[in-house]
Amino acid sequence: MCIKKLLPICSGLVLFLASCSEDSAQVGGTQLAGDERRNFPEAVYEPDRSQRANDLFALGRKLFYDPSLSADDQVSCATCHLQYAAFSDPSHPIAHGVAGRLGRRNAPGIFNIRWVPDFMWDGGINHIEVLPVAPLTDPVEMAETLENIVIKVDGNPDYSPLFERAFGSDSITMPRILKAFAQFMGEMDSRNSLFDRYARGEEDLNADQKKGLALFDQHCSSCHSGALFTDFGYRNNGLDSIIRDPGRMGITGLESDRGKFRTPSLRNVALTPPYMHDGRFVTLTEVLQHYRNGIKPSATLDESLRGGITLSDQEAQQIIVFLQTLSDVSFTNDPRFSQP
Amino acid sequence: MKFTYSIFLFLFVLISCTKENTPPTPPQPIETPTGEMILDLDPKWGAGDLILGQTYTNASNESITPTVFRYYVSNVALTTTTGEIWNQTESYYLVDHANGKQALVITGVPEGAYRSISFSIGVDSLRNVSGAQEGALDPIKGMFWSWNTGYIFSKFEGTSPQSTEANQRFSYHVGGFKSPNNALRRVTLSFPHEEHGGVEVNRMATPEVHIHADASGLFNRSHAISVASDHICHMPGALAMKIADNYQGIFTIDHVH
Repeated sequence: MCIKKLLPICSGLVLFLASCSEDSAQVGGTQLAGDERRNFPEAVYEPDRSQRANDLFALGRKLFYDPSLSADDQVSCATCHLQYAAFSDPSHPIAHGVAGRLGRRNAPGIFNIRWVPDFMWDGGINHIEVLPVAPLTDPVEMAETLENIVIKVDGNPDYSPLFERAFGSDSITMPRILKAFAQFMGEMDSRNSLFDRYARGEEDLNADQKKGLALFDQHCSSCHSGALFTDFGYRNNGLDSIIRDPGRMGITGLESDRGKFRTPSLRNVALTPPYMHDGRFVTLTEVLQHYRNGIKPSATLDESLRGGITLSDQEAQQIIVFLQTLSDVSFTNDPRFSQP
Repeated sequence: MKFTYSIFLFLFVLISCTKENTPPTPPQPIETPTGEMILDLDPKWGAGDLILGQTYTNASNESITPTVFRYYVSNVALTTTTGEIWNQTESYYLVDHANGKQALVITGVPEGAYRSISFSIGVDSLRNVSGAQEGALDPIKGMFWSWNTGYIFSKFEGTSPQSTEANQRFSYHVGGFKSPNNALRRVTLSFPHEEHGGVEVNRMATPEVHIHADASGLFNRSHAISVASDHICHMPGALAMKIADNYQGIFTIDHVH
């Protein structure tokens, strides 16, 4: 137990030491010494780090995989957030819920969300602890009431010892359930892709991947910026001329936000198809095609995309090859996050 | 750079020195004796009682049958006769008039004589952005928007023949904590004049403040609102702001005993 807890600290220290030395002396093939993407910024939310952290996490994990939290006892969070796909849903363009009902937008992946200032495609949810309320209660998703969820969890004898350990009493309340969810999802750090190892000077990229990175930096990184590969902004990226989903405008009420959606992180992007808020593109090739010559004008279209991005077929392919280096397989295979 | 650093270091040393010179044990805070005050919130329609399920007429001459009347009372503060203000901490109450009157017990009130009370209708912005809250603010209470997260400060629902919604429903859910649509409203009420010495709170005396909440004012206290033109309010915005303005003025102290 103690050693387990110490390990991340030790490895953090080693990493820190290593970073210090690399900045002065180039190691391996890295060209990214000093690159902002080597280090994550300070997180918006810190999971519990006290002694109860592991118990809180175990409770959140069980809840995440529990289909009884839905109205028909068939749909869990994990139904639309699959670990092998970085907790996204690769087989449905838009979310699907109880009785096969369809939601409005594509189920996003879940990782690095403790860095996210506000959630969902429109940024309508302002805190990780209240993030689960919408999917749990939405009639087209899990469609359950919060009262019933507490009753069901209370009625399942497996939970009582988990609450006892995590909270010091087996009283089951919604805020406790929400804090456990936040602990589980807040621990989902994904920062060990090939790109990360390259940035840390541990592994090298091949020529195409490096070319793709250079092209990415030139054409994509103004929005997909920083260690999280997003600036957390909202943009209209030219999907439609006639905009049906108001997007960010639904939250702010501002006409200038019509059809704008959160810039998604591109970490694990190759694992999280389909793409865009409505899942309209199945492959990254289609996505690149869109940015090259599919941009449709409208009043709120992002200035940087007017006229599209000029890339040759080969360059587009190189960007895709680079994007594939952002897949973190150690995260998607991490047994801590699998079905308990 | 180095110079600034030295200044900081110097200041730090200075502060450290000062700290060491202060007496090691600060004076113990004096326990102020406290008492309680009871707020009796009594739902009214004009001069009469508001009974959910019964039918009333609003200022626009519309027939109104209210079925839900709930709101948050928060951050209660009391002002003494000498002008000192006491703010209750963790001060969040959900008032639900489903069964008529509701009494709120304000605890921890320092003994003294008070001339007025203030409270907010709604939930302050901090609690709207601080994650899972407990007690009256537990999202299970049904006063929480999930897709555009934030508290629903008040709900006034019912039916009216003037509504074009299914089942002639109207539904006013007011909330919003962000400018320019911050619907949080502060209510300040002076205790009646005859209480020349103010309302006394001590261990022996727990005053009961009877407050009338006249729901008819939701339709006309500051802005005219009719079901015919506005039957649904389910997000922050201009309509929520108007309704909030209206109910800010519906609270009056009937008497204190």
